[in-house]
Amino acid sequence: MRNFEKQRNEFNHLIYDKEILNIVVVPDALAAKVAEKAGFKAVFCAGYATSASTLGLPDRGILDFGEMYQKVKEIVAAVDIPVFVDGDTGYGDPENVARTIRCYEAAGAAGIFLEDQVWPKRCGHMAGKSVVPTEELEEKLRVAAAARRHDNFLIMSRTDSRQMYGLDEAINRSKRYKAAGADMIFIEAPESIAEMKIIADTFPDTPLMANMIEDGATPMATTKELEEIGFSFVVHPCALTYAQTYADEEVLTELHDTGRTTKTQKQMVTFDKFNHFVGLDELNQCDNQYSAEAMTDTLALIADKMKEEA
Amino acid sequence: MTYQTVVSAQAVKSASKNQYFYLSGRQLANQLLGEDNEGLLSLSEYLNYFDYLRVLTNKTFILDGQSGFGNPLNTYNSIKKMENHGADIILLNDQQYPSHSRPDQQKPAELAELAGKLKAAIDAHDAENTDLWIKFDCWNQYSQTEKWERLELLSVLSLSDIVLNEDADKLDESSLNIHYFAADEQEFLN
Repeated sequence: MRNFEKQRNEFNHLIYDKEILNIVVVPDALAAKVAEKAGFKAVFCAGYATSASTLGLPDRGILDFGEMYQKVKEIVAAVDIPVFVDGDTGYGDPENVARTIRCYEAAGAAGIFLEDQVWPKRCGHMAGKSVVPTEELEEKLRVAAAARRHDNFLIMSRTDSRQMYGLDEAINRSKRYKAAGADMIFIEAPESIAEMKIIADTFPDTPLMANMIEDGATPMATTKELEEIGFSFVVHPCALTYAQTYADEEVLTELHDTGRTTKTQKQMVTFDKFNHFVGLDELNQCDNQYSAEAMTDTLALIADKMKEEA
Repeated sequence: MTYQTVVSAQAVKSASKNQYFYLSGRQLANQLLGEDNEGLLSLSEYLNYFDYLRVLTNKTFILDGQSGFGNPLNTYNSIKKMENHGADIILLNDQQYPSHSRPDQQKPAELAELAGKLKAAIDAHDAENTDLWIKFDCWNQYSQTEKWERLELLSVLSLSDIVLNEDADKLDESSLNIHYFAADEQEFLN
């Protein structure tokens, strides 16, 4: 049984290291492989991208636990680097939370976050969010911490209360979530750099996540700027989903209109480069290594041993 | 330690302490597909079902790797997948792909193909955490020489656990751990 200790240890190291961790949400296993080959040290499996790639729907609480669980397994299997996972609200009450933790941990995730939105939830940067009483996520976090089988499976709290109740409420909730068992803190959608500095100053010893979403409520900052503010890791949740959608639209429009890809082919990866990303050479080598022809030496060895023993 | 064949979460939860679990491909194909043919069940379907059971216990689970779900390349990747999903012991049988449950449909793989699959399985698996057992479904179909060749293959590859059906020709081989198996009930006998 693979126990994924290496991935959990690596993720802990990356989170608690002084250098900020730059992490990207991958919509599928292929994107995870490309991210790994591009040099990312960890990837993130999250609801916004999975809802889009799996259902073609917005992040509005339609994607369920089973669909996310399947995606987590696919992405974990595709890469050797740690995979951090979006646990949404835990998909129900504390009993659901316990099951979510056990399943994602067993599937090989390095950590998870749980949030305080009312289900069905919304993307953190969409209007019209609402949150549950603080006590509800506190209880879920306590249950989550008790349910995990390894202490180095990291749990992060997320509060969406900034949008409705302001930064002070979001900070107060996060303090309680930390006390309830959260290893890391994520305050979703601060609306200025000044707010981000207040968050960092309030939690100087707790790993903090920044969410850099294009056209979102939070101003975009560079990884270096976020590190200087005091964030431990930064996630880019939509970059690949938006880029893939852009590419789909460009290529499909040209294909629809002209029946060719003359213009858009210049932007595509080549046949050889794609094969590199999906590891064709390694698979072909494996295929040859264990073929009947490659077993000649083994069969000869068996024949020799049988002669000796006869 | 005893072995219990399980296809339900309730069976796992109600088991006694000293038990290994076995998720039989044959039983699961019967349950999910209504067919007595394990080869109809793909590895992904089998592992998705196994995930429900794996999360319930840390006890040893034996998984049915059938005949590797294809050629040695498939075997290599199948072993990786089964380990990722939490297999502790993986059975690989000596049939041609696709594997069958009914004895009259079971055809043995050529020695070279079996060697390739076993080597691929050994290279793919994490020896510290997972064991490989070889299940000789076709044992009674082999000549004496063919049996000898397969035992020498195990010796060359340092594999020591084999599974034989209860009605298989008896084997007196002290260097091997021989596990007897009731095919109809899909249960380990020792």
